[in-house]
Amino acid sequence: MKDIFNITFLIALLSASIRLSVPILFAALGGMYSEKSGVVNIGLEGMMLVGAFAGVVGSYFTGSYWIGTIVAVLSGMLIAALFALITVKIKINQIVSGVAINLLAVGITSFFYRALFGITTVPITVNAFSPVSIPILSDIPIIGEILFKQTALVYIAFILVPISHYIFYKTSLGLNIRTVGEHPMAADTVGIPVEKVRTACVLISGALAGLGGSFLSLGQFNMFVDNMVSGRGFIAVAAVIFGKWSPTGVLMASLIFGVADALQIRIQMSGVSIPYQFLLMFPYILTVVAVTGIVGRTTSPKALGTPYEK
Amino acid sequence: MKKFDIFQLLKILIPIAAVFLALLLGSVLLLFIDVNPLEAYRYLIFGNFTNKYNTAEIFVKSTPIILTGLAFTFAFRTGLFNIGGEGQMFAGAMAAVFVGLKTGHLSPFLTISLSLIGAIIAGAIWGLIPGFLKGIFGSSEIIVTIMFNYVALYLISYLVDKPLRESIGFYPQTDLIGKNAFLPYVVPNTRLHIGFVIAVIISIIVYIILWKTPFGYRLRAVGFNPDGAEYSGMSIKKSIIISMAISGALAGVAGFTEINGIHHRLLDNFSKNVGFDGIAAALLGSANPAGVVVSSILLGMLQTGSNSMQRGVGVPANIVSIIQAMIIILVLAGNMLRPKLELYMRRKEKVIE
Repeated sequence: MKDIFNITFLIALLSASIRLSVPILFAALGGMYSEKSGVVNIGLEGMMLVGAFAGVVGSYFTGSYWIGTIVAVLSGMLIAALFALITVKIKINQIVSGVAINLLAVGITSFFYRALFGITTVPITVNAFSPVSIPILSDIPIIGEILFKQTALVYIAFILVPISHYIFYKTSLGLNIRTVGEHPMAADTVGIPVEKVRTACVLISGALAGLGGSFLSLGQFNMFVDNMVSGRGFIAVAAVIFGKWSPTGVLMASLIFGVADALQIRIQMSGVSIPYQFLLMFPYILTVVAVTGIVGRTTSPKALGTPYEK
Repeated sequence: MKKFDIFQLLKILIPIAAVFLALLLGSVLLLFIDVNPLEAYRYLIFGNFTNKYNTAEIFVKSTPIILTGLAFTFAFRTGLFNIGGEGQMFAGAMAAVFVGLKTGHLSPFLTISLSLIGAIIAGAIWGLIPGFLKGIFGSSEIIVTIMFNYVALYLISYLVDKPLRESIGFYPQTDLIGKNAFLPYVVPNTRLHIGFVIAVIISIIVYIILWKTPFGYRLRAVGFNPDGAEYSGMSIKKSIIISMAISGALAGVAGFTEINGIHHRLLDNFSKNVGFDGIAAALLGSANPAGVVVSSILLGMLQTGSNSMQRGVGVPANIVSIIQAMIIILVLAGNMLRPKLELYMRRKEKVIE
């Protein structure tokens, strides 16, 4: 009896871990594109928030959560375009720009939410993703339950990991991105358009952060609440560092944060006498531990954070 | 001589132009939701001056922004990004409330001083830890300070939920601190307390430390050119840790002014986003103390005005966050473009000669 309880508990925990790691994974993969090209993207938080909001708006007005997701991706790219303009083109400090983008995102989402839906107290709910069982695979005991009974966006997130790996390490595009991030002057000399590559990477990061945000609002909560991203974008930035700027590393880091989050919720529900606020702190403290380099020294792209001046 | 004046003027003109441009962009949003921008801005600006209470509110709002703005400024001038002003303010608030609850029966001068010292120490510790991790392990102070914001947030949530919950036990908040720990009001029948004066005095002290003492010179040297500073015998690690501790202490004082001056108790989610408003004020004020004070008052005015705008014409007050973010972006863009502008003006002058 106790064994069965433990296994169902474990399945539920791991399945939730996968789900909770997805928004971070999306944003962190996005952040990785941007960082690999040499642009620190603290604005992931804001881009996720815009994605979460746009997803709800799209789903609300069309009734389709897929259109909502597309709107979220496009909106994420739109705000990323502004970020690219000020960091890559005008060359404003990337950290400060990220802070500004986050403030802007908080303003835009909370303003337009009220402008569209009124100053209500009850959040509106929308059509959202429901789990899709993958035939055959979902019948595998335990693993099928954990991995293959998730929503469509979960599968997309995990497929993006090998795709990103392929792009970075097997294509000339990936080589170009890495060169721009390591040594922009060398890249420029051999004819790689540094600013274009960086802009493209920032746009990709906006698209993926937007997806991550829409997963929160359309895959998890089915609604938009002010500031609902609550630090996941920043955790994604940490996941990039923790994952040593590689797609598989980022996947691992995101999963660890997912497990931490799922564990926190489960301990909270089980009524263990640890105050729940300390459990809520756990992912953030884990992030601090992650960036202190306990997992070994990491080397960032050499030109990370520095604008390229010809 | 005349040339010099024009370029100095440019430094002030850019922020002013940024504010106007941001308001212009805001008016596009207002048109989008069918509100007459002139009508809305009349409330936003003049709504502040309809009565004494509202006018005083500008300075009430700007007090913690000045302090968190100084916190960002201090770290920024020494080459660090302290995004954790919010958390350091929370840390200061926790200490201030604790001291206020325990020593509220002492004489006002004593209990207020103790609260202030408590807030300074707590804020300094909250800044020191990221500084230490940066100095020793090279961890990004940006990430760590951001994470510490959330840790502090949940720590407050725990304190008001369990150990410091009010005696009646109804709301998640602490009891009121002792009456003697309340900051005295400067203008009667308003909420304007002496915290504003303290904030302005501290901004002068920050200016003196950073620009008029060898200690501040060393800290700035490390920020300006770490390698050069180390070569001339300064310890980068030490300076990072000290600088983050001082920066945290400044934000901690904001917690003190908010608790002892406004709320008189600790509660969840008090003074939300003030830490980030401080960053905005620091950037708008080109990271110098006088600029921070002026910008904070401006931001305080926008925030107070936005409430009367919401009441007057039903525009969501959140529009001010958009305007505020646009101001920062435009100021920074303006500063980046300034050298080009100066070059262009110099060329023109030569032609005239």
